[in-house]
Amino acid sequence: MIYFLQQLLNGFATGAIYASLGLALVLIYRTTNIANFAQGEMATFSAFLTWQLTEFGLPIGWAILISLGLSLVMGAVTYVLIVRPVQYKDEMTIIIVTLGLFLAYNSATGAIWGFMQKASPSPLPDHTWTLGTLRIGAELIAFVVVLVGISAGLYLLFQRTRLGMALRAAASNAQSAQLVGIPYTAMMTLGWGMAAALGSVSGALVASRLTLDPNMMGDVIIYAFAAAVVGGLSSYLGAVVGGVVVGVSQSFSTAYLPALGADLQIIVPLLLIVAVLIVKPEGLFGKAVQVRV
Amino acid sequence: MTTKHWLLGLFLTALLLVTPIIAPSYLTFLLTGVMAYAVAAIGLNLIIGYAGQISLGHNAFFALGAYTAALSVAHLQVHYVVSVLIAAVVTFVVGFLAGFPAQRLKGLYLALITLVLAVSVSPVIKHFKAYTNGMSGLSVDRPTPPVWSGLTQDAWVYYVVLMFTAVCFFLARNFVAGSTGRALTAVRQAPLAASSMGVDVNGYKVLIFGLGSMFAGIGGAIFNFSIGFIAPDSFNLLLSVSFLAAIVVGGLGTVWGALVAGLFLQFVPSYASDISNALAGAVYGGILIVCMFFMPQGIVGSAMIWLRERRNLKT
Amino acid sequence: MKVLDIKDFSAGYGRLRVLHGISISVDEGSVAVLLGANGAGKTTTLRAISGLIKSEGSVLLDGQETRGLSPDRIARLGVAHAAEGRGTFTDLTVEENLRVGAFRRTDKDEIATDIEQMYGLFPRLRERYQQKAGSLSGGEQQMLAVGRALMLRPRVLLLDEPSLGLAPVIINDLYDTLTRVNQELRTTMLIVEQNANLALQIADYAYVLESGVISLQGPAQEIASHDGVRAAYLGEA
Repeated sequence: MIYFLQQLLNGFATGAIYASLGLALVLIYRTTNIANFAQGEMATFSAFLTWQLTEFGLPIGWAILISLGLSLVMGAVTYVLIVRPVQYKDEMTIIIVTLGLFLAYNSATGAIWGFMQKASPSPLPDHTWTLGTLRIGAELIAFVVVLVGISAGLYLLFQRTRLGMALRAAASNAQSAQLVGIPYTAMMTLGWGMAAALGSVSGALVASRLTLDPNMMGDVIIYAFAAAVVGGLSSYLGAVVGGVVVGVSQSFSTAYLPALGADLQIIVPLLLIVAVLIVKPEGLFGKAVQVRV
Repeated sequence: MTTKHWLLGLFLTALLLVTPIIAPSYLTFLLTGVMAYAVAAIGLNLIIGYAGQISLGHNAFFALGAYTAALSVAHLQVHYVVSVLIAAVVTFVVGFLAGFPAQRLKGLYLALITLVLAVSVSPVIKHFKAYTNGMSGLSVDRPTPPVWSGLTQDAWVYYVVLMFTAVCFFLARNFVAGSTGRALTAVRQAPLAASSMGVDVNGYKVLIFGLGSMFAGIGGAIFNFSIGFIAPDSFNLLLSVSFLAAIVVGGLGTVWGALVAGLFLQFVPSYASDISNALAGAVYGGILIVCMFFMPQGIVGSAMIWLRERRNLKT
Repeated sequence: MKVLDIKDFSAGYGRLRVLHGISISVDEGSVAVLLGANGAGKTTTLRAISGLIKSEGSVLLDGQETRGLSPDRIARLGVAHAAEGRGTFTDLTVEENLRVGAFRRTDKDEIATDIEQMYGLFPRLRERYQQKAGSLSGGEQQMLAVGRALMLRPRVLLLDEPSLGLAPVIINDLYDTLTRVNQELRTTMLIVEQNANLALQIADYAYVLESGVISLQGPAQEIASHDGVRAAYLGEA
């Protein structure tokens, strides 16, 4: 029983990472109707930025904050320069462009900082609390707090502020948003900026756990998509729930299905998502899209 | 086809046949690789360009074909030509089966699922290392030329691959020409209209997925001959994205675009890493983005449009 | 005093020209109506005025040129366009739809008062204020669209076929409210309608658009009693 709970808790921690990146994906999908395959690589870039700032002597906390701001700019600029020109073209074109961004960001990270792994300073204390034989690390608490914080922040932004309402309106009906005076393009640019900032948080979480390496988010993006897809790509709650589900299922499969071996375990949560999509293509939390003929 | 076309075709065919004899063996070797990639690219072109289904998992079928061929030679002791046929059948069946759930999914979700497929290749290969030799890779005997031919091994492999490539090109061309081709265009451009006219849209999508995967499998099998060694790292996500980049540059929805794609896949990665190891990805990424901005029809597609407009201006 | 003064106005979609140099003006506090058959270019006119499509010519709003400006800028200057098909923010609640209509305003208290006023004009909206706008009926969504447009405190309200797809009873209701809005709030309106009968009853001035050209214009009563108009648009021989 304790073992079960331990796995559950470990799964939450991993799930928090997936959920945070998944939230970024949902944000971009809701504001611009694009699935950004490059989100993970952008987050990696942000994580390296943070590392660079600590190399310049900044304490880790400040480095993370400044990196957040820089990432916001990075996301906005990416949208304006690369995404906007192709935003209304067909799905194929958009997917190809975001894949191109994936490659470009991955390469840029490698080109600037090299492909050798780097140790990154962790903002977290090295403490582990015990509840009976249950081990609760500082990492778990921090991750959950961060996730809750992000979720609360997004909720407050969207439901309680004028800006948030404008973002929702722009996502809901672009033409009407313009007709009430909302600067529609600015909203979408802001959406990409915010998503990149969210990504940088996700990158910080991953970096605190692993060594820094340009390919570190390579698998994470897939799990993040899996998480987001549970919510049909347009539900924030779905992304959070999805992230936790993917993290926990990963944790359980490692613990209870060792026969699969380390390699195949990666596939278990992915198969889960494949199953979800086949059964309910719009996601567990998503709304069925009615195609108007 | 006009006389001009016939002559051009004849000239090119002659050139192709004569190459291994007149060209340095290194070039022959490279061209063999081009053809293997081109065959796989035909497959992806069918899936994406003709059926409009976004597949990022093409590397999986390429790998499946390569390993199936390699293993059937090693364990079943079949002739290498037979191994290609086995690879073709296996990848067709798997692709066809995969096509069923695939056609249910909206474009983006299909892309995601095939992405999952793409990253699963390495783990699966490593897991079955008893058969596949895992990370260390598998050595395969390259086809040896029969004594009567007097050819070098590179030349013989070239001709074997050329034969398979020609067959595949003809198959693909015939498939997309005529009424099947029209049905395909309808399926891609207006699925609802097509189905209301009795075209079995879903059936075509599944079939194409099977065929496209089969071509990837054949490509993988003949890739085997060309290199003589396969390992999981050759079949990773980057390969899948490279395929995509290559056919985008070549031209979606054109059979000849696959040839350009083959050239792309053989030469661009090494040039890119000549410039800088890290920048290989940036080169691909940049190419993808730039292509979508300026030349979404790819090289062959744009050339065809240009030619058509010239013809229209003349008449 | 002309709120809207449009001269030699042309617009279209890509290479297709739909409007050919039309001129329309609307006096302050009055209701002008643009009549015409399907395809005459009525919707195009409104979309061009609010900046959604490219146009040529001159559009003066209170004497200031707005042609060529972006739609959100034109909206901020005081043009409220209730587009064809309602254009409600289906994911937002009824009250949020009204609130977002006042997006560019900063007078918080006045906004609250205005929302109250909208509920007064459209009591059904008050009942459903927390509901997602997408769940409202067609008639309710139309009222919401008008209410949202009014929250802008616009200099001119552009209404595109408000009666489209609504039951006759609802349409009457709607037009009664529009009359009230014009009379109580002194809102200037330009209404595009295929349903000429109703429109002419509420209008002060009318224009008839045929194939992208103004073929007839005049005070509403004159137009209503014009034989040609009666035959073509009022269903009377």
